[in-house]
Parts: sequence; structure tokens; C-alpha cells
Amino acid sequence: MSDLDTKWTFSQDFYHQFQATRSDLASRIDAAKSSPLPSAPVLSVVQELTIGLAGLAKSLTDATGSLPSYDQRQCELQLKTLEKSLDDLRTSVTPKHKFAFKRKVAAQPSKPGTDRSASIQTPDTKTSSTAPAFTISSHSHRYLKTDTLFTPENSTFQSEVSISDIEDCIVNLLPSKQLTVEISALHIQRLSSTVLLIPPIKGSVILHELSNCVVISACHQFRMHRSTSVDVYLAGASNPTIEHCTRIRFGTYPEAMQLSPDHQKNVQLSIQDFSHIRSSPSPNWSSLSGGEADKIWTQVATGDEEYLMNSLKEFLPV
Amino acid sequence: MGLLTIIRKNRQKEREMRILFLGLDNAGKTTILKKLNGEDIMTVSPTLGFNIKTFLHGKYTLNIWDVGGQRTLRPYWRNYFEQTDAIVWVVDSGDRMRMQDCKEELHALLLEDRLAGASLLVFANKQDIQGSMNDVEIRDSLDLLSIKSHHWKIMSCSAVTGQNLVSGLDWVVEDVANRLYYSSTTITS
Repeated sequence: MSDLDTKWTFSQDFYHQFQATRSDLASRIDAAKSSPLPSAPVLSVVQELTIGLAGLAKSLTDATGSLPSYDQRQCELQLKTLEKSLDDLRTSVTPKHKFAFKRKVAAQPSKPGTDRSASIQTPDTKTSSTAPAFTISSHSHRYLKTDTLFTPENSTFQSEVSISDIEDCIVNLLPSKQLTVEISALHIQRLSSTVLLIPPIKGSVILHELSNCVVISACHQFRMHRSTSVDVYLAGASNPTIEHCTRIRFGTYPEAMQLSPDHQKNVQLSIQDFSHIRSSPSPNWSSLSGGEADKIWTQVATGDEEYLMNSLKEFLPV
Repeated sequence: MGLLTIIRKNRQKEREMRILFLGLDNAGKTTILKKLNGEDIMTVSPTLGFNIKTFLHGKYTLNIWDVGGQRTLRPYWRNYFEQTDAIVWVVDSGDRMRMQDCKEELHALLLEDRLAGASLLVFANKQDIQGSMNDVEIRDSLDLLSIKSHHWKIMSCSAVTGQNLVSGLDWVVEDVANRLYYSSTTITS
């Protein structure tokens, strides 16, 4: 059989099949129109019909090129008529929306985007139902450590931890003898004059509005926003990011604190400053030797809290 | 032959789709793309600027634009809206604290004229992390049910394990194909 023959039989078959499906859909639409059913079942019928029609349209487009152009045009026209009558049916059964504006009775098939006004009008039925993460908030002049912050019950779950509004403190989340806390992500906001020690975590650390702080952290992703005068000692696989920050200094994570091999040291720190997207080096950050972090770490390891609190000022950048 | 017919036939020939990946920073947009493309995902860093990936999916060529989600970059999103067939909105399912922010950005985005009619897929990413929100919770906290202007669907996924990434793309491609090439009817959901 030649190519032309195949094409011919295909178009014949297609045409018959198309007509059969079309007349079936048409009769179902008519039936739905005249039926006295309440609107809910009719809606599901409309849904079915819409899907059927979409399938038909798809088969027609798939066949494009294999049909004689007259057939193609006829089919397209018939499809249009069908769409129109389905649309009429739909508008006649769809219950009016509460916030719908007065509309002209569906002279045009609804275009995407015309319903937008309705979506603006819809009031927030539900404010976000987000479960609170573990929160450490509103402390000043204190030494906060794993043992006092967590209990065995709440330390085992993998969770986000939020730290906010802390002043003149040392926050030490490193594992203690009794407790190891699993943290999936850290959100830190509004810290001032604080030293923050974070154990290596798998997730991300995001910091907002820090001033005059020291942050020692190993994480997968580190982002800091709107902060000034912060010393950061960091390990992690991805590039740290700063945005709207000034006077930030970066150094490497103290070797003594490396607790897992996942966080290989970031030897050459390549900081991305999103407020300085140029080829010239960013004026907002500079690099730092790791020595200072090692010093803090050694003193934290001795566990002399009183001494640490007294010498807090010496650790801070300003 | 009307203009619309010409345009439709033209696109039929090309079979190309333009898909925009958006979402807050650290949602995992770049990671999803790299995973789909079989690249290493451990070294992904926050995107400064944008990435373009082109690959074949079924019989379609997908042009995927992945634009950085940092706050300073969000005003630039508008530069990528032109001729977008679908938006993939990526959400960090573990990030409960920024859901409100996420919701506001998404709804502001959907008001954009040039995105009218684009399909919307919401990827609830990072399902591999224990304690992350499921797709129903995210649907509610992003108030997706109020979206009437776009076809949308939410799928939970994980860029690390690759779960649901391909089926998500399948939905996008199918939905765009139905709309662009086949019919002018809207499927009411």
C-alpha cells in the first residue's frame, strides 16, 4: 500500500470516528440541557463532557496534517459549535458565585484571566495554619545552652528552630553530654551583641537583622539579610549569601568543632552579595582568619560560663 | 485564515514551551532542575541571576527559566514574564515561618497581566525532610483554592530523592498542550 493510501484510509477512519464521538457528545449535551436534574449532578456531567470534548479536540489536532484540509476545517467548525453549546449548558447550570460581578450572559467563551476579579474578592478564609517551630526568644545577658533550652522530650524531633530578639547573650546549641538536638533549619532574627554557636546542620540557616554579633555555623545554605558588623565563621558546601548587609567578616569554621564529614570546609569562601551584583569586589564583606573562632571555641569548651559572659565584649566585632 | 490560526499552527510546528520556575529563595528551584537534568545537586548555591535549561520532554521542547528568589532579585521576575506558558512555583515545605511571605508573593504574581492564562504548578518541595508540611497543609496556607484565574495543581515532591518531579512536569506539559494547541474551552475545576 502506498503512502497516499495509508493517509486516505486514516483520514476516512478518523472522520467516521470523529463524527461518532461528536454526535454522541452533542446528544449528551442536549440531554443534559433538557433534564430536570438539580444542578450538582449536572455539574459532574458537564465536567465529563468537557473532558470528552477536550479529548476529541486533541485527537483532531493530533491528526493535523493527515487530513484533507476540507475535512479538517469541517471538523474544527463542528468542534466550535459543540464547545459553544457546552458553554451555554455550563453557564446555565453553574450556581452564581457570591462575589461574582454582574456579567453579560456568556456571549464569549470565558477566557483565562477574566475571573481574576473574583479571586481578589475572595476573603482570606484561613490565615496560615502553620504549626509553630521551636522558639527561643527575648533573652538578655544570659548564657543559653542546649541543656537549659531543650529537654529530652523536645530535642529528638527534627525541627525548625527560631531564635529571635536576643541581646548580650551567648547562645550555644552545640550538643552537650546529655543532649543532641536535631535541627532541620534555623531562623534567626534581631540579635545584638550576641555570640551564636551552631552545630553542623543539614538544612539552611537564615538570619535577619543582626548587629555586632559572632555567628559560628556549619550548614547547607547560609543567608544573611539586613545585618551590620557580624563576624561569621562558616563551613558548608554552597556559597553563602548576604543581602543588604554591611561590615560583615567571614572566616572558616573552627576545626575542633567539625562534627561530621558532610560539611567539608569551605576553603576559599565565595560570598555572594546580592546587593552588589557587579564584577568588582563587594565593599560589604571582608575575610577573616579563623583564629578568633578557635579561641571562642576553646573557651566555650572549658565550660566556664561566668568567665565567658564577662568576656563577651572581647569576642564581639565592635 | 485568521491570525489566531496562524499563530496556533506556528506553535504546533515548534512544539516548544516556556516554563518559569519561581519561588522564594531556598525553595529548591535550581536543585529541582539539576536533579531533572541528572546533574550534581550538592553544590547548588543561591542563584544570582538566572539559569536557562532546555530539554526534551515527550514530544515537546521545554525552555525552563529558573530565576533567583532572593528578595533583591524578585523585582526582576517581571522581565521574564513575556510568553510564559506555565509557572512552576516551588515551595520549601519545611519553612513554616515564611509561608505568609510565600503566599503574598504568589498571589501578587498571579495578578500580572502577562501571566494571564499560564498554568500553575505548585511544587511542595523538600518532602524528604521530616516534619515538613504536606501538600494539603500547603494548599491551605497558600490559599490556593481562591485561585480562579489559572489552572493550578499542587504536587508534593523532593528534589533530593527525585520523587514526583517528572510527574509534575508531565502535568504542566499536558495542561499547556491542551490549552495552547487544542481547544479554547476552559475546564472548570
